[in-house]
Formats: sequence, C-alpha cells, structure tokens
Amino acid sequence: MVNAGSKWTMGKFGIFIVIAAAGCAATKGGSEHGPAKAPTAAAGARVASCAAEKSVARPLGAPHMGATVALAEIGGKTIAFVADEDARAIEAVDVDAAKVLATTPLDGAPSQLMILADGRVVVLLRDTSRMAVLEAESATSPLALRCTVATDAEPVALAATKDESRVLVSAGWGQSLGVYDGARLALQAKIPLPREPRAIAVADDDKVAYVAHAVGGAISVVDLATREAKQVPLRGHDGRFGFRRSKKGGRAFAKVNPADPKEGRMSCQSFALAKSVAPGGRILAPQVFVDPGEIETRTEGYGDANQATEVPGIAVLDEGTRAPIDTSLNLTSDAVVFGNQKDARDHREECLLPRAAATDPRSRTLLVACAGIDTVIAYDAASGAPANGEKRRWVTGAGPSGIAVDPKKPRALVWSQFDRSLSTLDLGGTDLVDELGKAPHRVAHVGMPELATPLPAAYVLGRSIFHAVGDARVSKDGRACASCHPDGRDDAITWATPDGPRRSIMLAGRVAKSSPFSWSGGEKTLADHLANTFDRLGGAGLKTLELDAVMTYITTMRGPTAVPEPASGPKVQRGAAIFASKEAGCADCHTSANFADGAKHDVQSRAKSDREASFDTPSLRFVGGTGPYFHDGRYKSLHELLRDVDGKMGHTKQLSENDLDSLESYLRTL
Amino acid sequence: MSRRRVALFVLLAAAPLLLADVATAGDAEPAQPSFTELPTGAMSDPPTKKTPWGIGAGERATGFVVSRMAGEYTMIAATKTDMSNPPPSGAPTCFSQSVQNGVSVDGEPAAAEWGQPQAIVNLPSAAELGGRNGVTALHSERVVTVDATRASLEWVDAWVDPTTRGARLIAKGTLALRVVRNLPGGGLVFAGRDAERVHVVVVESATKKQSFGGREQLLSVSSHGATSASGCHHLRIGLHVEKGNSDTATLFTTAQLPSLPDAAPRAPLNGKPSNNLTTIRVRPVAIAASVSWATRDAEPVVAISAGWRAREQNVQALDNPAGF
Repeated sequence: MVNAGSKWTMGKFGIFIVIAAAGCAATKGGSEHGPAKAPTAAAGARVASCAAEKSVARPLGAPHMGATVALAEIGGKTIAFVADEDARAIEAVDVDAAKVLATTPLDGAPSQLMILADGRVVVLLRDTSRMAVLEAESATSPLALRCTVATDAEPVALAATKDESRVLVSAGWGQSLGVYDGARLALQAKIPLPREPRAIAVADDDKVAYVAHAVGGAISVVDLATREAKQVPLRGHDGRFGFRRSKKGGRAFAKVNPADPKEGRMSCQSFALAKSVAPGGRILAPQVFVDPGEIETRTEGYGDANQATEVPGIAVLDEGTRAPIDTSLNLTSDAVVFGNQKDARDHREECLLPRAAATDPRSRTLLVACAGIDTVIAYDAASGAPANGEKRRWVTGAGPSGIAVDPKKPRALVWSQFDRSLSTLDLGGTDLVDELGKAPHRVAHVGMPELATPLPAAYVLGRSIFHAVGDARVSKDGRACASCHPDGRDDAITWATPDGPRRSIMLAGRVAKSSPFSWSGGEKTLADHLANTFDRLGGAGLKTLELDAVMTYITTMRGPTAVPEPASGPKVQRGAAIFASKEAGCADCHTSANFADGAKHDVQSRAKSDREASFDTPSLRFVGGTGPYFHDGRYKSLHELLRDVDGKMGHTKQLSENDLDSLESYLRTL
Repeated sequence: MSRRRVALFVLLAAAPLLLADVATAGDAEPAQPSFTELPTGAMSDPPTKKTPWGIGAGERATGFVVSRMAGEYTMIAATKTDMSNPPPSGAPTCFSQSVQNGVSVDGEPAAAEWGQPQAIVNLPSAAELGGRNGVTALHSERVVTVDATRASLEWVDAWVDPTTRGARLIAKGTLALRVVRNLPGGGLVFAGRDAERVHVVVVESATKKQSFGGREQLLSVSSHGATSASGCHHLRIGLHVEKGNSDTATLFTTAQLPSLPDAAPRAPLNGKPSNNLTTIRVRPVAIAASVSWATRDAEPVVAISAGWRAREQNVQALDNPAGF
C-alpha cells in the first residue's frame, strides 16, 4: 500500500527526471488489473498510512475544493502543484521563479488534486479509479507517496469539509459521491448520483455537498448527514417571461416549470462549481443552457436555426434554500437578445465549455476557465446573475482546466492541459483598461517539461478542433464538437434535426468500429458522417488533414475505464445468458464486439417528426451510463426500456423481475 | 560587481514591478459600498390615485415647460434650451411616463414603472384626443453633482394637461447618490436607495462628443427583458430589494477613449475638408447591476460591475455640434 521505493535524481537543466519508479505502482482495494470496485471496509484497514507524516507544504488559502492546480507554500516559496493528465504526473512549479521544480509520476491520469491543511496532497487518478495521498518533503523533490485508495469508477473531483474530517470524491462513470474519513481516507459512504457527476462544493455549514453534473440538467444536493441526494433541475429562461409585483410589494418572476422539459433551456456542461466567499452562502455553477429545438418538428440543423442553441449562464444556488436564485437562470446574454445573428464587430466568444471555476474574495470575482476559447472570464461573484456581469478576460494556454487563486497576491494560476502550460493572471488593477498602449491584463506562461512520449500530432490537433468554440469550420453558432459530446461522451439531450428527434451518441471508446454512423445509418464512413454533421451545424467543414485529425482524436479517446459491477458476478452471468438466448433475442441484432449488427431495424419507435421508421442498431458499449435511451430519448433508464420494448425489440415479457435485473446488470458491464 | 552596479541592476530588475504597482494603484476603483452604506432618499412610482379630469390653464409645476408646437402636439421639457438645442452629452433633465412592463400573473396586474427617459415629452393634441382625458402623469429627474463622489437625484412628478398646458405638482423629492464606478471617458455610475429599491444611475461624461451618427444612447435591459433607452444625460434603473430574491439589470453605454496618436485626418464632408468632424475611439461598456438577498445574507448584497461589451471602433464625431 505504501510506496517507499521511489528514487529520483535531478536532470541536467534543473528539472527532476524520474530514473526509477520501481515500486511506485500503488495498490488498490481490488484486483490490480480487473475492473475497479468501490472500496470495502477492508480497504479502510489498509489506509492507516494515509495519515500525514512529514509534509513541509502548507496550503495557500483554504478552498477545500479540488482542482487541476493547487497552491502551497514550501520554504517561503509559492508552489503550484499541477495535475498533468497527459504526463500522468504532478508537476511542482515555483510560481515566482516561473520554474518547474519537480515531477512526480503517477500510476494513472490525474483528474484533480487538493492540498489538505496538514500538507498532504490528495490526487485522483481517473483512469485507474484510485485516490493517492502524497507529501512534499522539500520544494525541489518529487512528492512522496503515502498510500493509495480505491475509489468508485473514474474519480473526477474532490472536496473536503472545512474541518477536513471528510473528503468527498465524485466518480464520473461510477455515478456516485464517495465520503471518506479525512484522516485515514477510509470509505464511510457511497451515495448514488445521476450521470456524470463532476465538481463538488461543500456548503458553509458542512452539512450539504453540491455536485455538478456534466449532463442531465441538474445539480445534486447531498445531505451529508442522511446521505440522501436530491436533484435540483436547472432550467434557464430567456428573460422574456415578464414579472409582477408580489403581494409584499417586491418583484417576483414568472418562472418556468423546471420539471417540464418543454419549458426553458436545459442546463448542460456543468463541470465546475465555486463557493462565493464574500458574500458567503452561495454556490456558483457555470454552465450552458441549451435549446435543442422542438423535437416534434424537423429543423434545418441540430436545434432551431432561429434560436441561440447554447447560451452560457452561471446558476447561483442559495445554500439556505438549496435552490437557485431565479435571476441567475434568467438569460439576457447577447446570444439570447440577438439570436444567432452576430455582428462581427460585436462578436464575443462565448464560454460554451466552462471547465473550472474559483472565486477571488478580494475582488468579489468569479473566475471561469473556458475551454474552446482558451480564456478565463472574470464575473461579478456577488451578483444575482453573474453571467451578466462580465468584468474582464485573460487569454490562457490551450484547454484551461483548473484555477487557483493566490490569497497572498492579486493573482490566479491557471492550468491549461492541451498545451501543458501554467498561466499567471494579474488580478490587480481595474477591470476596464483601455488597450491603447498597454497590455490590458497581464498573463505569464510557464511551459512544462516535454513528455517522454509526445502525443501524436494528429491527436493534439484533433483535440484542439474538437473543443474549438466559435470555429466557423465546425458550426455557425459557435458550438464545438465537445458541446454535444462533453468529455467525448454524450450530452443526454435529444435534438430536433432534419430527420426527426436524435439523441447525441457517446463517442469515447466506441466510435471506432460502429459503422454505419448516425441513427439513420446513412453514412458508411466516419469522414462522411462528420462532414454531414458539420454541414447540419452550418459549419464550413474541415480540410482533409483537419478531418483526419478529428477522426484520430475521437477514435482514440479513452472510454470509461471501469464498470460499476464486476463482470464475473453470478447476476451478470445470468444476464449474459439471457442476452445471448434466442428467447430474448437481444443478440440477434446486438452482435459483434461492438454489440451492433450494422443494419437498420424498425422497432416501432418512429416519432411524429421522424422521416423513417427504421434505425441503425446502436452499439451497446457503455450503454449503462448513456441514458436516456432510443433515438428520441424516450426511455429514461435501462429499467424502463427493458420493461417496455417486449415484442418491439426482443422479447422480455417472459422474464421475471430478477431476470430483468440480471439483464440490466449485464448491460451495465458492456 | 561594484556596489553601484548592483544597485542599478536591482533598480532595473524591479522597475517593471514598481511600474506595475503604480499603474494598479492609479487605476483603483471606488470601494463597492454595502447596502447600508448606500445613501438614502426617496423615489416615486407612478401615481395610483385617479387621474384628474383636467388641469387648469394657469396651474404650473416647476421644471415643466409645456409648449404647444406646430402640428398641435404638446411638448414638455425642463427648459426652452433642452427643447431646441440640448448639449451633446444629453439634456440634464429626463422625463418619463408611466409604463407597464411585464405581464399579468395570477390575476395581478403587471407593475407600473416610470418608463423610457427622454429630454422632451410629446403629448397628443386636443384634436387627437377627441374629447378623451389627456391628463398624463410625468416624472422628471436630474442629477445634481455635490462633489467628486456624491450627487443627488432631484425629481418632480406632475400631472400635465396637453389641452390646457397646465401642470400640477404630484410630489417631489431627492435621492442621495454616491459614485460606485468610474468609467473610462469620464462617465460615472452612482447608486442610492429608497425604501424598496436600490437605484443605479449612469451619467454620461459632460465632455462626450456627439458622434456623426448621433449620440450613442444609454440603454438598459432588466432581468425580465424590459429595455429602456435614455434620450437624456443619464439613465436610472431601480432594482427591487426582496428577501430570498434578486433583481438585476444591465446598462450599456459607450466610452469615448483618447484619440490615437496617429489618428486619421479629419474626414471630408461632402467631399470637402471639414474642421468640424474628428475621428474618435469608442468602446461599448456594459454595467451589470444586481441586488440579491440570499437566505444567509445579513443584508441585501449590492453588486455593480463594469466590463467592455465589444471591441473598440473608430467613429466620426462632431467637434462643435452647435456650429455644425
């Protein structure tokens, strides 16, 4: 469990290079190479050594939230610890000297890290489903590993209560919030959540945790005492719904019904959360509000061409009511006011892929890192509608994914994963600087050591294009590929299209062998499918080199790396047998390694606006985490689907409840 | 290295930091006042009592100059000058009429507010009224500077009868204001509060030039989508204060920035060189105003921030509108 065998030496240019990482492979509470599983009580006994030993690092500030960059003070120096996903390492950077001091390799791709008050550095390893605890023994040496702990599948975000008695971990694919004892990192509870949980923020009273979701249109509010999670739907409204005076004389807004999918705009891209400090008692949640169009009608593209399909917004949650402040969902951005018609002179690149957030209490500012436009935007954190209060912008490195605010100086550090750079933003001065004759808002960049194995150029280019917002090659209205496919997955939204309603499809880990493409099965090659998609989005299209790069990226991006349930369990085996049986008939169409036959079938699912009744058999890879289901999203869950499709798609009527559960369990392992 | 060289090196090395600090200090914004720190006063709403049937021809209200113009319509302004030749930065007094923004909800009528502020108000003639009661409630207000950081908003409400040209005082009052934001180009953002609202007032710079396409208007968009454009020197919006709720608005103005050193020569007018036209740099500014009162806030939270809304552009402006 505890690794004490790592050895390091200093490189020729002052950068520490790993020469021997033997023994660095951490252990976990399960099979080393099998699917990860939730830690058990036994795992708790093995994490005794997670306690602090001799860390010299002291956290700067106390955000109690994970990020891809965190600040600490070591020997009078301000050190930024960076979770470098591509390098599978933590980089330690002397912020004032703009110099990388040490590299700590990890046994997995880090998603977030957090520095506890006792100096321990907790890092999540997304693709190996573990949490590692490390300590700094000096500013210039790599971190020493203390222990690793298994987590639920795909840990993506961290947070801690103020007293750090509890550490919280959200598991993206595992769809859960893990509650760990802060001292020993022993699992206390696993709380189920909906799809794709991301950032966590703990309320001031330490009683409630808020969890963002990349898809699904809601924020989870988790009572840490009862361990119950409730979903608060977030639906943006376009600011044209009028108002009235309430009987008290104040003003109340005509609200949309958040439970009605036809009212308002569904939230999406909720990756980040920030706690407002001054004023306190508020959780700030940057996201995007989506209008997918009327699915009962056919449109020219994906959504209604006459409406802004994606509008950035920042929901403000009142910790007292655990509900959003209405005005924060009232969208009055340029995109809403002016539709999709943008004047080139007035054009501002919108934050359609918010990926990280932090607050600067000194200036009452919310900083949001926007991938796709590689920009950090400062908003008024004290506003009831922060998105309306944009104060200034900084251009960062490519793919900003984390922000840390320095409490000692008016500056913020931003980690940009795509070009592996750390940007220092000057938060001082006024927001409105005339750009004539002086740089308005200074940014300094520090590059990281080169990767031992550089990423393929096509992958790098493809990743950049995939996330490009406001790229006319991709779309007319600024949408990026990643808008509908966050993290390469799907947005859980059903869009109105020229062919009828269409659910976005998960790409990561399953697009490579899923020809033909699209629900209609019309495109035999991925290139044709992408070209058709860009055309529907009103994009000009990509040249061959760029198209090849995007195809390289989406066919090599990693899918979820663990499944919620061990594939070897009896329940799953029973489900596999049912799946393969002639009686059920699932395997008649869901064949091959990708669980699809490449053919179209009429399963009596034609919707009012569908042009055709037959649809391409979708791959069942990762089907357990990609609801709602069918081409129009008619089934919210696998449970619902399996009980309704009898006679239309396979035969499930003869199956008992236990067998249906077994079948569902099996499907979740695919 | 000699001691003198060391000192010089240190000085050179530190120069950018020193300059940066100076620049930062010089750009400092006024401290954001809390709700209780905002100055207080009174501000009216449109009258709810019954409109009088007529106002006597001899009745007058201070600051309401009522004139019958050609075409038989009635014009109201604060002064004769405002009617004929208001300054480029807009007439100092704004008039507005009652409007109902929003929609009726649950049988409750939409709120009545003072609407779009204008330097002058036109009311229909007696002929156009066709015997209907044309008496209208009008609100006038102007910002009176106290010192560099303070001002007061003086307002007067009156019934005006376009048929008789009589005006009768309804109420008048003052709302104290303080500067909460300095805008590039000399514009100011003030705030003050009355019993129900926080009022945010954007005041144009007195030195603002009139661009050739006309003065860029002050605009506001409330969180419920109601828009307002000012035809005068300032624009005010009232944000309602309510526990558990929030009210927000965005106000738009245009900052006139210092001319480029190599600014284009004065543009020709009708093919002839003109000394009256100049090229100026302008940049739209958005001022976001909010009052929110979340459960755990001890008092309402006032937030007023400013940011650029778009890129700068060069426009033609009149050096001397009076001589144009």
